Amino acid sequence: MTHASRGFRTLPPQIAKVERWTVSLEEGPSYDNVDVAIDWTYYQGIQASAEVLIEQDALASSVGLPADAIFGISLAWRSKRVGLRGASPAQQVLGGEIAVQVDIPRGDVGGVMWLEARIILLDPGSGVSDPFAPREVGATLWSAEHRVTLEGVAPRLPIIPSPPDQVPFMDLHNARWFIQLETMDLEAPFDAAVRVYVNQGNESVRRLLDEPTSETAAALGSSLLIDIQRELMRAAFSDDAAFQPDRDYTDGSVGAVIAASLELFADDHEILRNRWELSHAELDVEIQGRLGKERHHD
Amino acid sequence: MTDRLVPSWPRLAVEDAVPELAGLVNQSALTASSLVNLSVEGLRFYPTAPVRIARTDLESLRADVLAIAAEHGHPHVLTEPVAFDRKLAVLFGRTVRMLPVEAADPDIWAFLALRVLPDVVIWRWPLELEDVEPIDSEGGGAQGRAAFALPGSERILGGRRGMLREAWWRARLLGADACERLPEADNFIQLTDRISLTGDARISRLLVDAHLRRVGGPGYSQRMALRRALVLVGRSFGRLSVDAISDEHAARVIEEAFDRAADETRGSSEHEAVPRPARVDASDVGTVRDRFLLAGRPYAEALESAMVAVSYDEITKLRLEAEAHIEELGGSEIGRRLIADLTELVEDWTSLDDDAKAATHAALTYVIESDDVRADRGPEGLVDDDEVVQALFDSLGRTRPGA
Repeated sequence: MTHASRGFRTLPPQIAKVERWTVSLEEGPSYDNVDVAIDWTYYQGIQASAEVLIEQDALASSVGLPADAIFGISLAWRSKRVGLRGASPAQQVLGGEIAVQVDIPRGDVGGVMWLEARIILLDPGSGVSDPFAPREVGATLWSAEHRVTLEGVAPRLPIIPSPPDQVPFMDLHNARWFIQLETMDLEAPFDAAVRVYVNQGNESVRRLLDEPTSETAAALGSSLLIDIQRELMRAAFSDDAAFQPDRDYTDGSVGAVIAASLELFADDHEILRNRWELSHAELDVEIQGRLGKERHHD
Repeated sequence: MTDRLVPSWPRLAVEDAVPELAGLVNQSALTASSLVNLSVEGLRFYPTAPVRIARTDLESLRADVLAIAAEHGHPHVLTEPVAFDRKLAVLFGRTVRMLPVEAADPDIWAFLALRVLPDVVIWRWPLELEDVEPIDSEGGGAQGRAAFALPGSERILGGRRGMLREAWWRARLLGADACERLPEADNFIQLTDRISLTGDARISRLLVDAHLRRVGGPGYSQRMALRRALVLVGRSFGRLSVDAISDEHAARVIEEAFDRAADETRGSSEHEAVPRPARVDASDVGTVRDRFLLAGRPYAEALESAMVAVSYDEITKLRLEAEAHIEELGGSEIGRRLIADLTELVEDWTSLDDDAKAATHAALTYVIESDDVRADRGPEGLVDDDEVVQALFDSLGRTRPGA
């Protein structure tokens, strides 16, 4: 927007600068100045904030207002995918360094989220003489935007945190997770057929959820992948398995994922089945080696 | 913390929806009930959702909707469709627990329409195709794609105009109470189409309150005044951060807009014509851009190259240029009307998204071009320009003010 389009003088761009955009995920990590919030889910609210440096003393004169004019700052958010938007109530600009934040409810954003810090007029002060000075309360005088991608197109593994006293952990209080894989229909989408319940009562899992970027979390994540690999192999070789190694399953289906997991091994299908049945422990070690991600952590 | 327990809903992807939509062509509510399938096995949900909707919840939702539909004639002749839509919005607002980000996913509404409530959606929005027998749900292919292009399919599927999606969003944006009290369908459309305003819960409440307080008042033209007021409020958003100021100040901005709109439209009952139904012959699953190019198909080549979202300054200059061009041609009635219609969009610039801005820019550019598909100086030289503007409004789901 230019001066002409708003009908009043606005602040020059260099009068303020956003030093830091922060996106904090509910019960999750915080990110500074990121373009992508990789661990966000629909079920996490967001607290967004902006730290803004402002040449406070120059605000009034820059728009032709008297020195007693009052300015405010607000942080707005919007999401085109969902259509919802909101803004924090404007807080008065007091001092040259100011932090402004806004809470975004769970599920109100998706796709790409835009944050917009704005300096607005709260009171034009007394004795305005400049005919082009802003006068209306709320006049937008300066703004800066930041774009955060909340979700990409990559598939997610369905992970469901569950309390220790509920199914499926009622009798497995110390379990870290429980992997459920539906194999009735091997053409079903994989992400519709698999569910990973994680035990919220388990200390390791809590660390995995609370600090997803930590080394511990990375190690646990690798363990989880190995367990999923085992589950896929069980689905391929169990007595009632419907998996057919020669069949061309639809891309992204349970069958296709099982086939891909077996391709980790150079062995023929029948040889692999025999190893699964006869030397399970040895194959288990090989799974860890081939996935190559198992790490040890204190 | 209860949001944690909001369940995720299953998705029916477009490729699966095609044959199922084809299965609804020429079906009655009675025969379509055989298509109900409440199984959620093998369907996609949001991967990390702590709770998924259960079959029993779907059964309960279906029973509730059927009860309302029965009050309006289901499965026989539909009576008082607007009242039915209103009750559906209230019901959805009170019982369909869904995160907005999921409610913005067309695949979820496709599931609800085609699997849970096929006999209700086809009763409310019949899909009729001449010379075609009802086909089973395996009958996809060309016939399925033809069903997508049928008028009314956009009301069934999960796009912006999908009847179930619309019901949920009406309640979400305006509140169940407003859904019961807003007097007519056009009010809903006007308000929910301006999601850049009503997408903010506080602003939405202030807008609805300001309108409802005036409905029934002497000389208040509920349709024209609301439309005008929303344009004025949208315009004020271009210069004011109404969403960041106190309730008192925000309410003042909105009240002033409604007062001015009421004055400007007082006694304008001659304009209270029922809006023409959208003439877009494509489903609503695409973007504004797709719909515009489809609706303005004969002119798509010229329009596509000008599909650029521009600033308010640039579009204002272009509008003035178009106005001068029309005057130069002799200022015909059709020319002035299309300029007036385009002006409304320009005045509402801040509430348009980038797609809508690009389409408006393309339409204005087309109007300015003298030697377009039908030379402007020739007989009926503006007919094509008028069709382009009509395509623009259709794609935006808006009624032309001059219509």
